[in-house]
Order: sequence, then structure tokens, then C-alpha cells
Amino acid sequence: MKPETDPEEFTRLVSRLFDEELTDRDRARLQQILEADADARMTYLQLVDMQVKMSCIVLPAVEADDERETSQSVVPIPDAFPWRWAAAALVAAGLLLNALLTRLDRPVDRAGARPGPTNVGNAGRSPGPPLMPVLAPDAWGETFESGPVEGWIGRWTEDGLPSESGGGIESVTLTNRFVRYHRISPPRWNAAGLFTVRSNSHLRMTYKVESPTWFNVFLGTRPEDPGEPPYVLHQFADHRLWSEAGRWRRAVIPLRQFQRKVDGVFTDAPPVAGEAAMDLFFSAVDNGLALTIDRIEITSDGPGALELSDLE
Amino acid sequence: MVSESSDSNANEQFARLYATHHLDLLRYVLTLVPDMSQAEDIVQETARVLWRKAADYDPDRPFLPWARKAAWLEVLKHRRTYARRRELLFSDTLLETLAEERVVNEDALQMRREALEKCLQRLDPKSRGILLDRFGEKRSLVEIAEREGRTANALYVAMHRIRQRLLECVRRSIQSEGQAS
Repeated sequence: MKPETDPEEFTRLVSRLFDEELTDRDRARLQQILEADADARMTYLQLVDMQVKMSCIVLPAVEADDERETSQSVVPIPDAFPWRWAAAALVAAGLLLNALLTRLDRPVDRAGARPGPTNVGNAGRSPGPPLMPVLAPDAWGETFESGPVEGWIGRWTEDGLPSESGGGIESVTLTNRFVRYHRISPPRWNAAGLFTVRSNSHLRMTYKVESPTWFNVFLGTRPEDPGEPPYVLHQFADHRLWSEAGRWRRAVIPLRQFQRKVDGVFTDAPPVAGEAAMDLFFSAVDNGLALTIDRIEITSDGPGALELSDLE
Repeated sequence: MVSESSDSNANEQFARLYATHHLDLLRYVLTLVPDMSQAEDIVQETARVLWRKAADYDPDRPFLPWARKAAWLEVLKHRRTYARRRELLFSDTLLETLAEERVVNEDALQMRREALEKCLQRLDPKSRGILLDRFGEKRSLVEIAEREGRTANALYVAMHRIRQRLLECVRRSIQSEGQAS
């Protein structure tokens, strides 16, 4: 740097700039140095890169069982920094989502007070404790036409929807102790579940992403086999869901194309027919996802392959 | 219906291109608007613009210069908004200089980023803990200070020292590899 530039002063000014502690006098001084000193500008560019690199830090992956809170109260310092990857790396490697599925700690938006989703199907629900095991129906759905639905994670909206639609739900941004993420999910029904997975179950939805920002779909089921964990996660990750953006689309996704998590790894095994679906959520990690769902349903039939089409 | 059509392939390619260069754009915008929250908003808006203009993109030409142009326009739009609030940091002249030097020095900066990656792994545990709290848990330095029973100023000084140590580590690393700037 130029002799008249004090490197200590300069890095302190830039440090305070990024830590949002710059006074007006500091700002003027920083501008003066940057205008006059090319070496200082190079150092500034390095500090910008450093700031971007540090902003990609994530905490070490800790996956909490959905049935209990994580017991960790102190974040362990890893031997190496885990990095959040740009969307390209996630598309290429599909790494981060495995590690970031935890209980919600501080949901910032919940839909309003109307009772739960419309159950369409062949099983009823008792208002009180069931006298016999209650099976979740084969089909399930929600149109959001009647206003906010209690228990949904998301922001009910009536703006920007397909014509003749009276309601939809937008993704919201949440934080837990590890990460900021975006989400839409229905309420969890602990008794019978949302629906029962069948061999030809399909997820059908009308949705829109504002920009090509990735998201994945997750399904949590309760296995019938008592030897299995009480909750098993499945993932559907396909860039075709989000690579075309800015317009309304219909997706039909066979549940058997979801990947079952076994021993901490998503495998090619599908959900098992007969399991109760306890959870269904759309999620992405802190990438600015703006997802809106106009309607969603589970049917027990379908084409058996992913189908995507633009809404007419 | 979706199929393996050329349109679908083009969209996928465009999405991947953008995703590959997302951090390059963030670095570019943060250089000019050194507020992470504002820079991220600008990059997100740039992404929307690029997507709308995807059909104009010539795949035979490099993506990043085209994307930077769009980002530059979004930065200018942002400045017009903040000028009214008198919150601009850099003069127009300095802004242009920084934008140009960001591009001109890219190779040297890339070398330094690679060295930075190794230097970060060598940080002492206490410093790494501060970075994990600050960036991993997205806590402000004031929050970290309260939690640790320290003053906020102590945390600002700590962050400054971390940045200084990393800069010095990068400098030594570049010199020791015989790649003086």
C-alpha cells in the first residue's frame, strides 16, 4: 500500500464496514483510501471474497430425530469448516440437504385458523381418541380456496394465482439453531397420518417458482414394521421441478420415485405401500426460494412417471 | 408435457450456468454494495432479470460477462434508491474503478481464494468458533458478545484480527508458492 495508508487502519475500516459498524467519518476515510491507493483496493477485493467465503459457512450437520429435540447445547467446532455450496454445487452433488433436516424451532409464519386439510378418501376420523387403529385415507388434498388453513407452514395468498383460483400458499423463511431455510408443509397428523402410501400413489400439485431456485420434496412415513425407526424420510430431488420458472405448472410425481433414507443415506428404495405419511414438505436451504403452491393432492393412481406441464 | 426437448435442455443448461456463477456474481455485487443483505437482494433480482432474458443469451459466449452487465444495471438501480437516503458509500468514479478492477484482477483473486480456503482450515479453534457463531448461526456480533459475556467492541476487534490473520496467511501462502502478485 502507499506509505500514507496505514494497513491496520484500512483493514479495520473494511472490517467494520462488513460488521456494519462504520461511522460517517469512517466511511469518508475508507472512500478516500480506496480512491487513492490501488493496493488498498486489491486488499478490499480480497476482503470482499473473504466475506463471501465466510457467509457460506454452515454449522456441522446435525440431524435431529423428528420425535425428539436435539440434545446438543454446544455446537462442536469441526476439524474442517463445512461449506454451503452455491446452487450449482448442490445441483451437481446434491450434498447439503441430507444434513439439514431438523425440527422447526422458530416458525415465523403459520397460516390461520381454519381446521385442517380436506380429507378425501375412504377412512373417517374420530373426534376423540380412537377405539381402534385409524388408517389414514388413500387420498388427500388441499386447494386453499377457503382461506388460511390451520397448521400449514407457509403464507396463505390470493395474489398472483392462476385465474379462477381463490387461494394458494407461499413458502416462508424459517430458522432453526443451525440454518435458515424455506418451507411449505401441511400440519403433521400424529394419529393416523396425512394419507396412506399405496403402490401407485402420486403427488399432484399446481405450483410456481419465481426464479430457477432449487427445492426438494420430502415425505416422512411411519413404517408398519416395528423393527424400523418410527419415522423414515424420503426425498424427491429433480431439477426439472424448478429449472423452469416464472410460470404456473402442474407436476405429477409418483411417490415410488421418492428415495428412502436408509442408514443416513438416500437410496433408490421407495416408500413402502401401507405406511402412513406423517410429513410432506417442500424445502430449500437459504437460497431465496419463492415457491407458491395453488393446490396439492395425493391420489392412489397416476401415470407412474414424473409429468410436468404448463398451466394453460 | 416435459420431455427431453431442446427447450428443456436449454433451460437446464441455463439454470446450471447461473448456479455455477452465482458466487461470482455475489462477489461482484458485494464489491460495489458492501452490505451482504442488500447484495443478496440485488443478486436475486439479477437472477430474475437473467432468467427473463435467457432467450437473448448466446451460449457460445461466456456467461459471466453477460451476467455482470445485468448485475451492474441492478446495482445502479439500487444506488438510485439509496442516493435519496444519502446512504451511498462509494462515489460513481470509485464504483466504476472497483467494478473494473474486480474483473481485471480475477486470476490473482482466484489464487488468493484458493489460499484462503487452506488458511481458514488452519485458524485457531477460538476464531473458528466465532466464525461459526457469526456466519453459521447467523448471529450478530452483539448477540455473540452477550452470550459470551464480552463487550461488542471486543467481538469487533476479534473479527478484525481474524481478517488480518487470514490476509497475512494468504500473503505468505502466495509468496511461498512463488506466485507473488
